[in-house]
Amino acid sequence: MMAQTTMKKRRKNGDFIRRSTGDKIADAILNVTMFLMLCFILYPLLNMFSISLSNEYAVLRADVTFYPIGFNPQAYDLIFKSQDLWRSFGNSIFVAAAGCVLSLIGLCIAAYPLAFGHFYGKRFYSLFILFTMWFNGGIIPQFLTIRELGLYNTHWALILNVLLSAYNIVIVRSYFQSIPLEIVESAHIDGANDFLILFKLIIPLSKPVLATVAMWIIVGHWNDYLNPLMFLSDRENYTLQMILKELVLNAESSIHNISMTGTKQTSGAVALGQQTRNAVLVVAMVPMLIVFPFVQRYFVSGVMLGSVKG
Amino acid sequence: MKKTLAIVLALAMLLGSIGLAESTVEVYTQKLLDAVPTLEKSEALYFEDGLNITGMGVHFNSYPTEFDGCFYFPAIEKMTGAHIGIDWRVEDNYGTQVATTLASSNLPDIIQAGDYGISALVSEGAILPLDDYLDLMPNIVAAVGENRMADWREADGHIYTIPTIVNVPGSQTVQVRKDWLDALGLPLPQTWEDWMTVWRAIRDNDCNGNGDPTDEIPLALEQGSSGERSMASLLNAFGIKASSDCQFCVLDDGTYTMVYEHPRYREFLETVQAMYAEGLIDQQFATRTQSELFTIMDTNLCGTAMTWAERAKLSTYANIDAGDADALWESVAPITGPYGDQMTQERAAVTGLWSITVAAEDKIEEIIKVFDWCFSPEGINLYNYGIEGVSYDWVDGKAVMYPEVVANGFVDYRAMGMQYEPFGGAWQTEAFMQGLFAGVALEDLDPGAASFYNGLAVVNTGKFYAMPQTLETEEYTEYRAELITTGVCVLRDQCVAGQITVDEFFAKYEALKAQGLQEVIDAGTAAYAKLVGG
Amino acid sequence: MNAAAKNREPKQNIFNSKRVRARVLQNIWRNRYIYLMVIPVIIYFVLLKYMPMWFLRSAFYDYKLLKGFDSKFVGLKWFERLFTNPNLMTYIGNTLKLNFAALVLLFPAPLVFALALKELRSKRFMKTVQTISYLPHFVSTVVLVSMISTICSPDYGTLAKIAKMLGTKPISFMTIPEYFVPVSVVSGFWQSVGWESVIFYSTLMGIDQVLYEAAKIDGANRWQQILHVSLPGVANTFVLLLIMHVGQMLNVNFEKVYLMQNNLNLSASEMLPTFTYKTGMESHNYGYATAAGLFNSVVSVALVYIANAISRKVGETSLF
Repeated sequence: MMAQTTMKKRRKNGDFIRRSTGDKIADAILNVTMFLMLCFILYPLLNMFSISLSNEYAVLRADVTFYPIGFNPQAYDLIFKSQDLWRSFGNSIFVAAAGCVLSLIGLCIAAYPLAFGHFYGKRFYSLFILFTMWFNGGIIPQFLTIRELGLYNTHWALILNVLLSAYNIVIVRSYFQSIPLEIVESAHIDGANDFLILFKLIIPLSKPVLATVAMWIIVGHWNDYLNPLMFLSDRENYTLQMILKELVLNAESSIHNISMTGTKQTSGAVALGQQTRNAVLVVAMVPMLIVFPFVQRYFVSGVMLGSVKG
Repeated sequence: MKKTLAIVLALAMLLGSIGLAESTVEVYTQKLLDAVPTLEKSEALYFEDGLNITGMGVHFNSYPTEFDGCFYFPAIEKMTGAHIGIDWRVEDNYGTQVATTLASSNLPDIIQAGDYGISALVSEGAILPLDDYLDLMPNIVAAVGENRMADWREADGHIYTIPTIVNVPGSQTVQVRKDWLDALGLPLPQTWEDWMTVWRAIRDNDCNGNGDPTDEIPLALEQGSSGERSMASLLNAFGIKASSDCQFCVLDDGTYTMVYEHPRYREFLETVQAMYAEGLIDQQFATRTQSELFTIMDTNLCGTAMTWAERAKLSTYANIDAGDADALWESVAPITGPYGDQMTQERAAVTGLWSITVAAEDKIEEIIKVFDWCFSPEGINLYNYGIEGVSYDWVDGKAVMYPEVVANGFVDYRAMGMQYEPFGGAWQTEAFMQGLFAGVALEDLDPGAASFYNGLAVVNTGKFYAMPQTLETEEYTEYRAELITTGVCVLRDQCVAGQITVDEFFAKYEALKAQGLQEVIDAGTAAYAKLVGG
Repeated sequence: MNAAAKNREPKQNIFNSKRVRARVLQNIWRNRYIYLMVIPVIIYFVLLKYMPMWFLRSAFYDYKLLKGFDSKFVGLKWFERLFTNPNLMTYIGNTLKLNFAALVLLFPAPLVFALALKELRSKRFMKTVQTISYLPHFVSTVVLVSMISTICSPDYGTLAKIAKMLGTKPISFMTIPEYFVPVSVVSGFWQSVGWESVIFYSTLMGIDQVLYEAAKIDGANRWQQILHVSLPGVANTFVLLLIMHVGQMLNVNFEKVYLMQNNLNLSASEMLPTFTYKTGMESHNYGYATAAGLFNSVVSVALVYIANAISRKVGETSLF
């Protein structure tokens, strides 16, 4: 930590001395471009957030832009009233966390032989994995397989179904390949076995790519909707996305709860569907907003690679 | 900083979940459940040894989500001895869930086809025809009624389902901005010429007063969930008695065929194309989804439309809320066509819901008896009103629900487990009206609500035609996507938008017929003749 | 390539030549730990990926779910139906047009974005931009498409409001076939640029800091550093992703295209996956749907093979 800070300082000072006018202009252009980019990305999100908190008529009239009009947290009320929300939240966290850890271990084990191994059948092994990138049986046989394995209606079905993907193996492998081979070889000479090398040497050096893949896996599980729908039958086991989707459908179908009376509780039914849809997104995004900064930290740790060699 | 933010967000989410008081729904759900043990055995049907029925069905979201807390199934079990255990599935992607159930060859006793389609279940050989058992279900046959028997049958002439029945008047109406017409000095249109005058006036004037005379849409065309109802109101104005998806119709001589075969279709298409070119029809008709239609109705952008009757009320309120105090969407009688035709589709009352699978072959009679019991007077009362003394009382020979039960329209009523549509039954007009009015008298309704009521029960009276159902023959199922939805429907819309001429439309339509559409038409014609002929 | 990779080749050769002389058993024994890693992975793939693939033979059946493979064998019937469709080439053409636009405009964008992020001086600003840019990934396709149609609506959309302010007539983006690809690409950019830049960003951060220091000592300015250090550092990843991307040329974001379709833009928006979905799945014709999918897979493999061969010839990176 200390070393990093001093290095940062040094770099800053060095740059400060060397910064030319051209450099400053480049920085200005870059900053402005990125700011515009930020606005472009942010506007629809802001709009989404505003809709989730707006008065139903304003939503219906498509008046809502940057900020909520006629504050109305009804949609959030609906979401947080759901009895299943917290349980499903827990289920999702379990699936994402367990799935992430197991997948990372599995991916490293699968990628290590591809990057460092010289064994009979390596080419077959490589093609065997890659083949699954283009050919798959589809949802029905997948379901039957999960059932055969006795995983139906368990969270393990969700975890195992996407435990290892060819795509992620390729990504991890290609990062492993950028690690100097001498490290592995000298460890071999020192008598370390491949498992030891993988866990003690390679994995600590691969934090940036593992952080990226971890993020993919976590978000993949977090956003997954179709697999839980197919593989889970008990409400007890439902994941967050299933409950949220149900709430949206619920809000949308309240359009059929017609009545002569009552302006407020029924007239916004159509809009409530829209508000809920957006509120659900906000609720699903917040935990990921909390997770991302922790992952972001690991991206930077790869900078230390050079020191290992020396 | 970031960690503080994380903690604050987590706390905010937690706080949101605290502080919930017990609602009317919870109170009544419990009361109904507590009253189940007091129910008596039904004299009409009771299985002393019990009967276990397993099922798989769609869970509609406005109904109780905790099935254990819903009184309906325990009540049926107490009264008939039949235990019904349904594996309720999420509505979304239900078809895929049916597919996986079939593939695992682990069928329940009863199943809802849902969006998988009854004809697809038949072709899988998964469900049993019920024609031979009509004697065992006198109540259901009576509830369907002699004149609606054809609606109950599938295209192959067989009955495969226990239906759900909704005895409720019309649902969609033509609606106009009465205040705009008043401002323009025009009366409510009666004839086709009147309508054209109204549409042109809306097009040419700045009715919404925003300074832009071009942004008012004279006529927005109605949409179904996937655009299938497009132009139903205009087809009807030309005397074309179209099916719900507007692809088929019954000619005057009783022949069932595609609407494009109708002698007036060419004229209809030419007229609509001209109207589009003239700017009388919504220029976005091909993409106008239902919610977008509501948006333009709510935002002073649309002059006339056909949609759910309820919309007259809601859009009126929305416009008033936006500051347009005089706004009024008036429900009016169907559009009168150039030849004086004036008609509208009747709401389909009989919908096939449950099928009995091949897995239940040995207890099919018992299962049918249970369903039939649900359509008996006892069953109908349970379904519509709940339990006597708990949710309703008899007043002058009429079941009257307690005010709290219907105070919130159908919302609470359904959440308590009544009119349990996922399982189906016969919904009575009387129960519908009690829920609809929620204790308010007809004369106390404000103009918006009155317009809604008119749309439901007044303006269309006597104008309904018996809507033919779209017959899902084998040929239809095979070619539907290829030749109809991505075939002739696309041509129709391209023609209306002026991308192709009417002659080109018919030339391409003939080509589609050669590709197999003719087989679809012939199969449909034959199936309909057989259905109607008996 | 960095120095480490350059060192790799000769070493490997020595190792190889040794191995060739060694006896098979000896090799296996030496690699016992490697095999211990490979075997569970193979078991996993057999159980969860290859077993379901056995279902693919339903492409040759009039497949009924309840009957399973007792259904009627129909040979190549579904393939014939697919290849004799008069519109097949139009659908493939539409698919290629969309994918080509995506390849040229969308594929390099995340890399540029990642480079720009890295060059930002204020780390706080950088982190904000990065965090926000990846949020659109959470927006589901259904919501995305409804956002698109709201923003593009000529009656009340944001774009229409801007057009009216500028005094021009609003454009009906969704119903004009020519706008299908642009709208699709721009919305795709919005949704994926941040998310997909994560892999490039992390690779950039993984580049040995020593290389930058060395470049600076050699007098390289920022632009030259990007050109000579950053870009070569991510080249491997970029090429790998590109090869895999090329393999997806016949695939599209099915759900998005399907939801963006309407009768007036169908001439540009109908693609092979959407068409086969409509004809195969809506009528529960699993045989036909599988046949179409199989065709897609075979073409994908062929494309990847070609891309891989080119990449191996031109550069040193390859997928297999």
